[in-house]
Amino acid sequence: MSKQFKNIDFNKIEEMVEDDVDFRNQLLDAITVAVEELRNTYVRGIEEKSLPTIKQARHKIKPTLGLFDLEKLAVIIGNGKRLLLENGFGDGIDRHKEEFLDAANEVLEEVKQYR
Amino acid sequence: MCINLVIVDDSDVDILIIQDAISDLSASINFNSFSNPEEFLKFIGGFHPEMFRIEKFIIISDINMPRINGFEMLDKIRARPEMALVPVIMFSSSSSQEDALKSIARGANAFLSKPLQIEAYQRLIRTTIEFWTHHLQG
Repeated sequence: MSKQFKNIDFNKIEEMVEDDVDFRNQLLDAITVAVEELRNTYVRGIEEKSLPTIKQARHKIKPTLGLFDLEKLAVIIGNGKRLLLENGFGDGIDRHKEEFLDAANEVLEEVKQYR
Repeated sequence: MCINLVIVDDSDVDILIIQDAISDLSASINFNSFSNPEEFLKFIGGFHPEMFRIEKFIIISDINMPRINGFEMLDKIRARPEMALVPVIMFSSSSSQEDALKSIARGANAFLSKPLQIEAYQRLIRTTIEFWTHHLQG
């Protein structure tokens, strides 16, 4: 499989689906839904300054990030966790929101291209 | 004997990975998944109590779900005397000791933290189901 994709490890998906096209599509659909839900909930959490909402979004996406190596998105979420601990919703949060949105949208775009 | 495996998890990714993990188990398993506890509670709500003596169930549930969470669902399961002995395994992204203790205190048979590697995740699911299947068939 080509390594033009930088935001998600599709080899892990291929290893799991073993050429089962239906299963591959189901898995890609499920990853898309998970990242879209993360994007919406996480951004809502930032806009509403709600730490529980952000924590819930982080918690829910954790297995997907790890299982399919969504490394860039995982790093940005980790940076956001530190930023929130140190500065709360103050300095840097708008920039973090933009970085997070870019990373989430890049994953979604790669999944779309991969199909 | 066929085992009714019930997965309650609001993540489709997790449901698919679990479904794939059990596909090569030799035991006869009837797979049921629910994306929220309300759906599952509605599903079992119509069962006659005798059903849980005739059929064998294993329930694997996430904890962090909207509206009714896994703990509240566990309370409702254990409130039904006929389900007192149904194995319930809490399976969560959480690795907190508090969640583990809360699960056991409320009557879960085990608390497992979701591994972040596919192979480990699927192996954990397979060994867990094999263990409880063996226990129920014992």
